[in-house]
Amino acid sequence: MLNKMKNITNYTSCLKGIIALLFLFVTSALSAQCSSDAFMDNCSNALDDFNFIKSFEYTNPKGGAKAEYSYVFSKGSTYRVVVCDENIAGNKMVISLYDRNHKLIASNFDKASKKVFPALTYPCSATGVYYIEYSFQGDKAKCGINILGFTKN
Amino acid sequence: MKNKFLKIYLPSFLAAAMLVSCGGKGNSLDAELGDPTLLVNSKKQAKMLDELIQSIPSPIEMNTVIKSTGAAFNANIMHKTAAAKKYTTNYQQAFNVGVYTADMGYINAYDKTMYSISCITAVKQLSDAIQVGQFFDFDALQRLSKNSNNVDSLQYISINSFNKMDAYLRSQNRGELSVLIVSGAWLEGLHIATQTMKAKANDELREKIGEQKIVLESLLKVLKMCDKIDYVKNVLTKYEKLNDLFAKVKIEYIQGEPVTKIVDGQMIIEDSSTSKIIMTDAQLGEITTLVESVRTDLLK
Repeated sequence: MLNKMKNITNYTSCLKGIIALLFLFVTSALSAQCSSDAFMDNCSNALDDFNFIKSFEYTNPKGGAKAEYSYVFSKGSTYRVVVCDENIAGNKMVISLYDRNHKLIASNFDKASKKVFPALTYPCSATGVYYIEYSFQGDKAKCGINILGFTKN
Repeated sequence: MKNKFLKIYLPSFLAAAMLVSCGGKGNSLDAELGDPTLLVNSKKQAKMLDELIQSIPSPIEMNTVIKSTGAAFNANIMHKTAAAKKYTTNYQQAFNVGVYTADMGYINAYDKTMYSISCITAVKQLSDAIQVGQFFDFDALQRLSKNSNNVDSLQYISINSFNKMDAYLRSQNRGELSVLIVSGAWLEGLHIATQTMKAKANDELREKIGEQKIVLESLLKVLKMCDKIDYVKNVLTKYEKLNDLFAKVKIEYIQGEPVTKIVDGQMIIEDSSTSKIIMTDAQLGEITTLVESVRTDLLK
């Protein structure tokens, strides 16, 4: 009986180990999806005529946690922030743009239509440090990227 | 499933683990740089370094403005590619990866692809020396540089490679090399801008030079985080002198209200805020002269 119990315990531990390993590989694969060149190339198509500047990856967000990066925007340039995620309904990536004083300028989530737009275009008229905050609507998303591009007015 | 796991995932996982551990102490780069934890010694500092470096604009924006002035391309204002072999320490090499990358941006902006190959070779030589050459697809860059129709692709690959290299260095606790690369690119970008301004004055370019005040503030912060290294300290001291001049440049703001519009399915923001750079001719002249002098001191 004792041996049988030990076997069950070993089997359970082994199963837990396998599940943990599988989880690790599945999450790695999902994260890798967003960092792959193919994902990036596909996403950068939304830049249209904008020149690519940088991309920012957000992997394994913890329950609605927000992340932020900043960038110096210049007067006379128009910036486009492209948002690419895993396209899971209710788990879209939402970004908010803030000015140098951390005053909200806009978000890609339109409250009126409840629609999340895949890009946000900002003709900059005041040079300074701007902040881009990003998060996911739900907790199912594992990764997403922002691509920043510019064009001269 | 089990076989697939063993054949595909397990070797990949082990290879990745080995790669991480192989990047540790013992190679010549680490021997020169010493213990990186002494330089950026907390996760909070490393995060701050990451954020500040990310916020520094790419020289590509400056080059677009330079091109738009109508000024002729001037190969003589770029750093001589033959000098690449003279840089023997990893700090010098990192700084000059930045310098040549900025030159590459200038070349791309003007579609002067005939200058690309020597510049790409200089970047390759130096980035190999600091062990980040793997992030540049030099074969693709050389292939693309042979045809001026490929400028967009050339530009995209150059910037993407630069960003990957920068992110890798920071992930490996080699942020000081990232700081030097970005610092070198900034100085060369400003040098090209001020020299172009001397040749052909332009209000927009003048504004662009003046706004480097904001960028320099961020650069000084990241340089200060690594100033235990003599080479970085030297760069910092010179950039602080530049900052003394930029401190006299004023930026005036008028706050407006942003309005979001949907145009052809695209979300576009209209903002009535404005800024104005106030910089006298004398201040611009002083900045131009000091940039030239700093560049002469730091480059061979």
